[in-house]
Amino acid sequence: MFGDYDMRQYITRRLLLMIPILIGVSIIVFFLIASIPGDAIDAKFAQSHLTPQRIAQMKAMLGLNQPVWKRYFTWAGNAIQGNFGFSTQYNLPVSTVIHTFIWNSFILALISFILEMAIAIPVGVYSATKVHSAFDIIFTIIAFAGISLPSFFLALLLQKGFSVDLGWMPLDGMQTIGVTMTPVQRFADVCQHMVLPVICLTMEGIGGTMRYVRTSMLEVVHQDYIRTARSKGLPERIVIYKHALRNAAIPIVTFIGGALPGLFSGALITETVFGWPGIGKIFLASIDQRDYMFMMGYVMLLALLVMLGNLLSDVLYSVVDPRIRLK
Amino acid sequence: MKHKNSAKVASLALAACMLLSGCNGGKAANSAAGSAAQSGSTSSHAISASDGQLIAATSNKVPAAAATRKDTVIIGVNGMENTFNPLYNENSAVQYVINAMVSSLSQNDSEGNIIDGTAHLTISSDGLTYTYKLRDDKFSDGTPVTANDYINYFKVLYDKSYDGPDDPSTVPVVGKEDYTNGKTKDIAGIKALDDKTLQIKLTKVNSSAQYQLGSSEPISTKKYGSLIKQGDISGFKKLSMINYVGDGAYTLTSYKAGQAATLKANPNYYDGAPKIPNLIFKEVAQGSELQALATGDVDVEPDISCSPDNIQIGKTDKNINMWIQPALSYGFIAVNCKNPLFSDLKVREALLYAIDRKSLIKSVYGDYASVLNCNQTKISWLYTDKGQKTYDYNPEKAASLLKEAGWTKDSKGNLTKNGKQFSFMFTATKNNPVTDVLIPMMINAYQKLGIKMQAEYVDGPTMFNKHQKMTYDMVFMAWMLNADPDDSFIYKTGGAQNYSGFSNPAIDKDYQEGLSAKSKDAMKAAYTKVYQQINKDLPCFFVYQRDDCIGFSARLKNFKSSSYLGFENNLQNWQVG
Amino acid sequence: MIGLVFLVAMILICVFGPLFSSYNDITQVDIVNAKQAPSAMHWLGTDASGRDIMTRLMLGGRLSLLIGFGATAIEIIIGAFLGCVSGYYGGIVDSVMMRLVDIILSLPGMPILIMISAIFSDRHVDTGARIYLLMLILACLGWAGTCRFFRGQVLTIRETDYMTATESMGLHDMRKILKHIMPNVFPLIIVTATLSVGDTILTESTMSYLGVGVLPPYASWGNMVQEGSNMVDFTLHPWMWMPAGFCILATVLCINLFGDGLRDALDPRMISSK
Repeated sequence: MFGDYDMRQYITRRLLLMIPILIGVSIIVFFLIASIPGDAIDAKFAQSHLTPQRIAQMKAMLGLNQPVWKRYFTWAGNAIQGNFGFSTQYNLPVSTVIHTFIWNSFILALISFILEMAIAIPVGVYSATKVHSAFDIIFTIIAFAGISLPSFFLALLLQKGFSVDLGWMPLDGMQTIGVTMTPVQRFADVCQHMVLPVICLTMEGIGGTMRYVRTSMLEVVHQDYIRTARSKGLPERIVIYKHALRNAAIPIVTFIGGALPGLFSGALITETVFGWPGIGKIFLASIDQRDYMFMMGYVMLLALLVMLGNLLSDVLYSVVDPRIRLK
Repeated sequence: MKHKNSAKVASLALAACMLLSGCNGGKAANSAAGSAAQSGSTSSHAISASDGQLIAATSNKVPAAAATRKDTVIIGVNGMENTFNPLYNENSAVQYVINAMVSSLSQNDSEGNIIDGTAHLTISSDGLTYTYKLRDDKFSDGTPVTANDYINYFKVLYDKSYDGPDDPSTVPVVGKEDYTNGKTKDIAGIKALDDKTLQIKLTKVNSSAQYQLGSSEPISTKKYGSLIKQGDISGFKKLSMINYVGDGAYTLTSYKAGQAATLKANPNYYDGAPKIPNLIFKEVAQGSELQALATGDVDVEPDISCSPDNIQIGKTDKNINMWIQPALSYGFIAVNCKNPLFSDLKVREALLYAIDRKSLIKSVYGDYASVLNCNQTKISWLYTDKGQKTYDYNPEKAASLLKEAGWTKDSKGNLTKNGKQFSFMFTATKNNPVTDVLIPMMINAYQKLGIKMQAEYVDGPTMFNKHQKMTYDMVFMAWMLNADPDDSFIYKTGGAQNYSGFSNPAIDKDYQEGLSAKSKDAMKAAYTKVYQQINKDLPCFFVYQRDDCIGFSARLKNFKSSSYLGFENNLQNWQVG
Repeated sequence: MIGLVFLVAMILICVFGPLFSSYNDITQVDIVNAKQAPSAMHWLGTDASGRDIMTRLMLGGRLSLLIGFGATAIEIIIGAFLGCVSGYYGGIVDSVMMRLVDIILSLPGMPILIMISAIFSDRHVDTGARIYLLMLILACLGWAGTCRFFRGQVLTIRETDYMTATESMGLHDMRKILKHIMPNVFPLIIVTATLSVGDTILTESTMSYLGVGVLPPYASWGNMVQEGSNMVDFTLHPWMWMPAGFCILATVLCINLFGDGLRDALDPRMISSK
């Protein structure tokens, strides 16, 4: 498929298009952030006893007294060279801060995503084939519970049940502090700390996917060409999984592409409740602390991922359904 | 598209932590008070059992996770940042760690008086010369601490390029400006008379100087002297604090962002090598404090909100001790006195009389808070309620005061004066247990008077911004206090942080008197007048002073803490058993 | 049809119920009786300010249902329609539309919310009106994801045989979109609507938590549910937040049942295959 000239041209064109769009997004976001009241110095020293002169002095040291467009060009000029500035919260380069936390969020998100897909797709498909059966109804209710109840509910419930009351799982954090371990022990320790947050994230995400898969399958299962396949005497299994699923794949493919930025953006509530040192919490704190450099770096990273994700989805559409011609 | 919100919106707010457990509180614990007279107490850790209230654990059975930790104690904190340099920190969680790493010249006793820290202070009778006689402290690398090491601290603080949170401008040290401007190589007013004697001269009497000077910490000349160059202290600012050589009970050995800071005992600590070899400050999510203690995840948890629910939970857990001490802060409603609605004192009085502060704090903090009517904590040696009004809840009085001020209800029941309706906006941040109850109560109470109060939530920095720019009507805030009583920057005319627009020259004079007082009695007299006048003039509505609750495991022995002298100054005596 | 009945019942209770309650004044507080468990005086107990939860549930229901349905309707109408248009025409139209979607999806939600709330604050917008304005703004941004989703579907449908047949019939473009394509994605619209209503109410809930949602003294299911977001209230005072959570769940279920039923009724192929 990638040997296909049209496809390569398409992908190249899309990648090139990303550049002006990223520039556009960076301008919008930079001005958006700058227009929120208060800046890093205000946030840091709100309650300390500094004179207005001191405060002005410190703002000047960070360049915060410059007009917004000038600050933008400073940032952009550095960004192109790969320097995303210093985080005012951490006194470290933005790239270092992102690098420290983003992989923590990534592992949680990736494992949850895989579990979600692994459970939701088969269940959705099976529900469609056995419409209105007990199985279908039970899983419908589970799906809705997952999407109607707020995220903290599940997180706190799991935490209370398995950690506080039963003591089977650690309370929070990514690893046990204060104990030295071998790398293998450490790996096992982190895995153990991952169990509750992963369960939480998976259960939240399953509902939507399950419903979409089920609905798409229902649509397709009753169409004529399926009846044709059945009447040809093909085993039910092949009819369902080969023909019907292929056609129900479009929504799934949209998800996969759309999930790419989600893998790196961190699940705020879950991470906070479980004390997981992920990037979602850091981003929220950075807004609170008006850490402009970090906010820009992180938002631009996500913007890039959004576009790559959408590109991935579009490419996969034509893989899943050869009739689709991308122009 | 299914859960588009997982990335975008959502989460717990860190914004409001400012008002709760005292984030950004700065150096509340290490800042020291000083006796204006010649004798300072020699007992360096004057904490007694009467400084607070202990709800003791009734059982010694601790969770297995904790019991196996024989040589480590874990303290729970929230929101640490990578700012472990004592001169550059504004984060209250990190301040705990810093207090374990370095010791200061003076300390405070439980009333906020100055007592010896690493030095004994003598002030000359004209109030201009401060002499600190150092004791024989050693840095963690065994080097003795000398007076020059303290001079390094001032060289950083007064440097032109210093951009940390401390404001050196308030203490009038001789030769300070000349050093900052580069005119002199040394600070004329700060001299090391000998290795163990530090002398500081002021240009005029200043009763707050003892607190500010007393909070200085030594910077090892041997190790870091070369980084402190006049005009360029960036070397010291960027210094990694891992294995920083300080004179405190512990040394920082590692820091994992978002997770924990690990420290090990300093064998050369003056008060004796700490009995616990390892100390860890672990990040605990806000809201999980009690659980962390209950599961043995942490041994000490200082951020427990003192609500009846939490105390109840703490009591049911038999192996948790709860130490309750008065918090060094007060909650108040800031009022924009420049707003024509609030400029009349009668109106302000009326608005305060209409708030049932007693019921409010009883509901939020139970018995662990009390109504406050002036700007000082009740445990301070300077506190008095002599000659002050209590503004007890009295809606009828509120109504009559408003009438006196010229406000009457129109046909629709709205309070109006000269055709203008009494309506204003209350700005707050979310997730503050006080405002959650206060706001509906105020809306209700004011509605009965015909006043239309609306409430809005914004995020922390936005609220502070409104406060600073004085574009607010009313906000709820809290001030952190320390032993230094001089809060004139809030209440004097044109004070650096006077964001209410309040002005009374009489109060300005009283503050001046307090600052130039040369004896304790003179200080007390002056501040008594300040508190009385502020109580009368209502530049803001004081609401409460509450308690802090520090929970600690039954396995921890010799835990001591008081409001002015936090537990982190007494770590060397801790034992686990 | 059961779904529809329940839904209508819930709406009626929320609209008319408070009129019969003695706690109808939304500003009334009763601190002394705060956080009380359900009793004869208060069927569902009281909240942190002593206000009756039952009444607030109904008053909150008015607001949450309005916002939930309203924002969803806007999002779906705009999103699904534009998605179909984009997918149908392809080419430049699709390219431009999708790039616009890319930009919108890249914008960070939290900073936008904070900025909007700061602007409302500076302009002294009436606090009762803010939530409606906010949801309007969010819906106007939220169509992007929906649009992408439906466009993906349409890419497939466009190539099916019977669509090619309509080509040869020479039908007007808009007619093809409205009469042939959109009905085909109708079941997905139902699923999206269901998920979106629940999602919107929960978004409003999270926004309340962050301070940009429904402001006091007004109630909404969203801000009531958030009462349970700390371990203490979660375990000790479940009546404060569970009723609201249950209502959200019930609403979502009802819409789904209703939608399923509607789809069954409208889809001839489902009927004939039974």
